[in-house]
Amino acid sequence: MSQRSTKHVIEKYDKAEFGFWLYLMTDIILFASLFATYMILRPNNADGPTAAELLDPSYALIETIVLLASSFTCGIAVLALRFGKKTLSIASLIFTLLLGATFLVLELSEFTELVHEGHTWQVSAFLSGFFTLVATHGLHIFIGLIWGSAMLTYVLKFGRTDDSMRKLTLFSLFWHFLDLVWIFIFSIVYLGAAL
Amino acid sequence: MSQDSFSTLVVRYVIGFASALLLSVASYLLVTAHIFTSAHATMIVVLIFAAVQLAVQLVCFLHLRITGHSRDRSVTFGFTILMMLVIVIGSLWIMQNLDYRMGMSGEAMNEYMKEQNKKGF
Repeated sequence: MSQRSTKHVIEKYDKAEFGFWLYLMTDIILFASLFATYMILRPNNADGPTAAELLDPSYALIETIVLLASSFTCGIAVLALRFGKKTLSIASLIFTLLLGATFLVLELSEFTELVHEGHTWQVSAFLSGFFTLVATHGLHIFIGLIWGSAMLTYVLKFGRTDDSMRKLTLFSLFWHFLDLVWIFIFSIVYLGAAL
Repeated sequence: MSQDSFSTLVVRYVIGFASALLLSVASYLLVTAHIFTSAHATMIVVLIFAAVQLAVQLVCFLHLRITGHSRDRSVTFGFTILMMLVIVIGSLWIMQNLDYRMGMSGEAMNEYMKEQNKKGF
């Protein structure tokens, strides 16, 4: 009986993980379209500011490091929970959320600065493409932060169960995926601007 | 689930984190320190670094393997990457081609359109 239920849990786990993976694959297509749009529209700055004038790679490097650290602590949170280290898992999860929130604050302050200087997304095709791409990623991060907070309360309440392991693994897939998307935003948008 | 101990698995994450960090800083330095004179060459190396980082994070953080447990995930991922390349490279190709063919000033374009209008549709 217990063997059958274990098998059932593993199947449920695999199906959920694969299903969520397929969602991530469709998200890759979404970001691919936005990247293509940005790259095509980048030269069309309508006599307004260019990417090189507006975007600062050093600032983006700090954002990259913050998000990378957040992705790392998220992985540790899953690993710790798998080995029943509840306190370590919760601590890592809190770090993940704090670093994620820091990233979002950095990005939003960059956006507000751009908008205050009059570089809104109505100014040129380049800025439309830029804001659409980067803000779509930021929106994912925001949703991830809400999801992560829900996971934190779940793990606090239930500790290590099959369900909490499954849920936390799915969250970590999402979070690592967002970090990967950011690596390409960093390389193509910010480093590309400085060339 | 593998039989690895907690510490060996943590080490895997640390390796992934350290190499990802190293690659990000390396591509940043490559761009800001102008190590290559050609912007084109720099961009290609930056993209290669990004691709290497993608592979590192897929293996160390997302536990993607070609065989075994995550085979279905690898296959769908491979197909998605193919679609991604079709979308990105295809769009760039088509739009650059259009740009090339439309390579005339606004005034010249206006004259051209008037000529075409005279001919009738």
